[in-house]
Amino acid sequence: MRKHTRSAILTVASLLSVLVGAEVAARAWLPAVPPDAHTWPRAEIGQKLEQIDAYEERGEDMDVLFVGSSQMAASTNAQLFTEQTGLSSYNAAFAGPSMRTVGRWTLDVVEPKLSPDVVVVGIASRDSNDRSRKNKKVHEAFLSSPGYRQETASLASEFEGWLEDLSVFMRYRRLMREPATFLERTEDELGEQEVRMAIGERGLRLVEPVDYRFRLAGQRSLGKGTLGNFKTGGREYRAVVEMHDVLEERGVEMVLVNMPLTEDYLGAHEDVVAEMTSYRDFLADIVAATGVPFVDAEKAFETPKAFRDLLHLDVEGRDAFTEAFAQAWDDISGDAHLLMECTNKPMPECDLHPAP
Amino acid sequence: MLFNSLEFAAFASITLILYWMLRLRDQNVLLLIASYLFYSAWDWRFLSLLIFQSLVDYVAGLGIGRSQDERVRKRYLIAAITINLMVLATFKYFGFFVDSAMGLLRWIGLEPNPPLLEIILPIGISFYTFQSITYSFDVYRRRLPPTTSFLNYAVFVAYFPHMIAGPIQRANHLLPQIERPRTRPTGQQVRSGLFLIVMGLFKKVAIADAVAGVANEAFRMGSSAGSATLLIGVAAFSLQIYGDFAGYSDCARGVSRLFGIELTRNFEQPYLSRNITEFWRTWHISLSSWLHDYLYIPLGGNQGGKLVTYRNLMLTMLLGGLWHGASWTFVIWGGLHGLLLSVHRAFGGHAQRGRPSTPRWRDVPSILATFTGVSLLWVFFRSGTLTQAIDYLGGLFSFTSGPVNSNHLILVLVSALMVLILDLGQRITGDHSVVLRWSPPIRGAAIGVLILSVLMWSGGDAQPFIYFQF
Repeated sequence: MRKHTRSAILTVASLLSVLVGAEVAARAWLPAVPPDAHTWPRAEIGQKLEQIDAYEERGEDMDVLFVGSSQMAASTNAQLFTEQTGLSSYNAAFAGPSMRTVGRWTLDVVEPKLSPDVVVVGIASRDSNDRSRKNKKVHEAFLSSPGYRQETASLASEFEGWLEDLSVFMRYRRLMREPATFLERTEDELGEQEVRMAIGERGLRLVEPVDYRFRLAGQRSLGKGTLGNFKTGGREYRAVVEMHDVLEERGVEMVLVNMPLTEDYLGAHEDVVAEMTSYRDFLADIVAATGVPFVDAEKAFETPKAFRDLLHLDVEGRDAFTEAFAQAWDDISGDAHLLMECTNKPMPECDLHPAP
Repeated sequence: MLFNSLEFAAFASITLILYWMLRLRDQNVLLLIASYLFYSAWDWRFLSLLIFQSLVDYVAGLGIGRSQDERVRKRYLIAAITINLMVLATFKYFGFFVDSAMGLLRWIGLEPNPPLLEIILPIGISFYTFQSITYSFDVYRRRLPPTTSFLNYAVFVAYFPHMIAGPIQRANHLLPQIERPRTRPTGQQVRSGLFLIVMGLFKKVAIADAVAGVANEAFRMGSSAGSATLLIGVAAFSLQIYGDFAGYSDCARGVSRLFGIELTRNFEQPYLSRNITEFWRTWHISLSSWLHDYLYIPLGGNQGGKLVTYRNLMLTMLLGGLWHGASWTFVIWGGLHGLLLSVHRAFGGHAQRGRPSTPRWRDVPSILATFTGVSLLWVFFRSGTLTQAIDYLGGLFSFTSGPVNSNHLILVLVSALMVLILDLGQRITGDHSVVLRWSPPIRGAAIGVLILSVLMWSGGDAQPFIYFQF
């Protein structure tokens, strides 16, 4: 064998041994994690996408698609909606996003797979804050996630996705970029248990009922996080209008729902009167610009009894909210403007009727 | 199309395969097409500007070369330089000049209402304009015969491995290489070219991008963060800008070497400098030597006495600062470097010519002092406004305590250690590709570690190079 050839073989062998060694070390040291666990900023997105892909593979289109943040994820029971209306539906909402992220998720990922006739968009003031650093961070994490890049299917992102499926080292490399945090985590924390949640058919979050409990820390966190530096409009406004325009081009109707809130949530606003006025103007502008049916459920519940926390309905509240929606479904069209009102005695019951 | 993207890897590979299948003239046609495609991938609208500037300098070069009348030659030179600088001034500095003039008028009590023009900066304009000027100057000074081929000249200006962010090539270095037949690179040249690409990607992805978030966070927080966080932030930016720009330069040289064309080095371990003069001989060498030869020397250099020398240093560095960007922060950054250079010279300091020597233990204090000074001045370079820079420095020197992000601290320390190891290795051996001289198993392991680090920090959207904005 010539000297150069032997030298090249030795170099390449040594190089490969470093790469293989890193992979072996990662497999030995790190817990086995499903390939999708860190593909999206939240495992919930990956889990719902698995279901959505399964519906798509079976050729099951949805009549109604629910999208939004955790409020919509927690507040709508798509299984119940389907039972009551006979319309197939799916709740694709997940925790964290504001409207700009919901727009990309809906238009680029979910709608093309499920081909719904109607998309119901849940919104609250937190989703309208154009200056929220948290909203920006969530959006950037979503757009730069391997999952989104693979779904939007550039060659490079498909290649990256293939590498991550193949290699534990590649799958964990983002976590390893924060060495101090990474070393502090236990295997369980890194593993499946922490990141995956229980999700039933049609994207239903499977949760046990809990009593409402006010948490000051939660209110402060909301105030400093998504509601901080509050200013409506801009990218968040454009995202909703774009979502409507693109859906309309695709022959899909859109419905906008102002989601139910507690008084404690409103208390997280620094200047609740000015900021909520600005938010309601934001909604009015969207409705005027798009002409979508609008359901206002913001003050549907007078007390927080039907909620789990500041902004998420509990199981009974969720089902009452969904039933009201299902019963009034035929009225939610054209330029309808409906108001939701609920009672809490003895169980939550809600009713949708035309706004005065 | 970034060097650190798969799109560029595919583009460069296809161009390279076709390139070595062609004859010289066809090779240059291919290089020009590839370079214009590369540029169009950024913004096709400015391709016509690039071609226009190439045409102006090509015609001016012919005019200078063919005339024996010094006045005519000078007119051609002045015309070429004026047009180049006017294009640069219009696209890069118009807004800055208008804003500054308006600020001045407001200061004296007037309320001007100027027309608003949103001018987009053509990518790479500062680099290719300076490179074009070297051609006109070198032909005028009879250091270089004018090229008679527009194709060759256009390739010289637009050559894609370096056109966006340098290294700025002298006409008398690059143009002859484009004009003469090229031989296929040897195995050694291919290996060293590939190694430079891997090393460049390592510096960009595993050093610069790794600490970019640390610097961004610190500069976003400003004085609301504790002094320790701001100190880590400024160290992070020092490492980021070095890794980013040196990484780009290494990639450019590596890619170009595969095409059989050698580009000049742009960095010689600048953070091992023992004084500010040595720093400027080792940092962004292609720009600092351009400023020396085409600005400092024509201004008189050090031939007019001490005061004239200091004036020339200040002017050169002020304009060097302004070259980086149309903002007062860059002007102040350049001015402060000019001041440090003048002070160093005033105290009899100098830097040795040629390649800097290997540092000794006794040099450690002066190296640390130089690094500290340079890093503090990076605050002006990195800040969006003067107010932000002052706020940052105020916070840094307020010596307030605050929580320190241990992830950030570890990233900066590891990155600093990697830069130190790489630069010391290069400085001691005098070889940028010293790894290739090691025994095959160690060489393979070292390259494996570099590739592993790049893989670890890869993914998501490729981060653009900082100097692309200039």
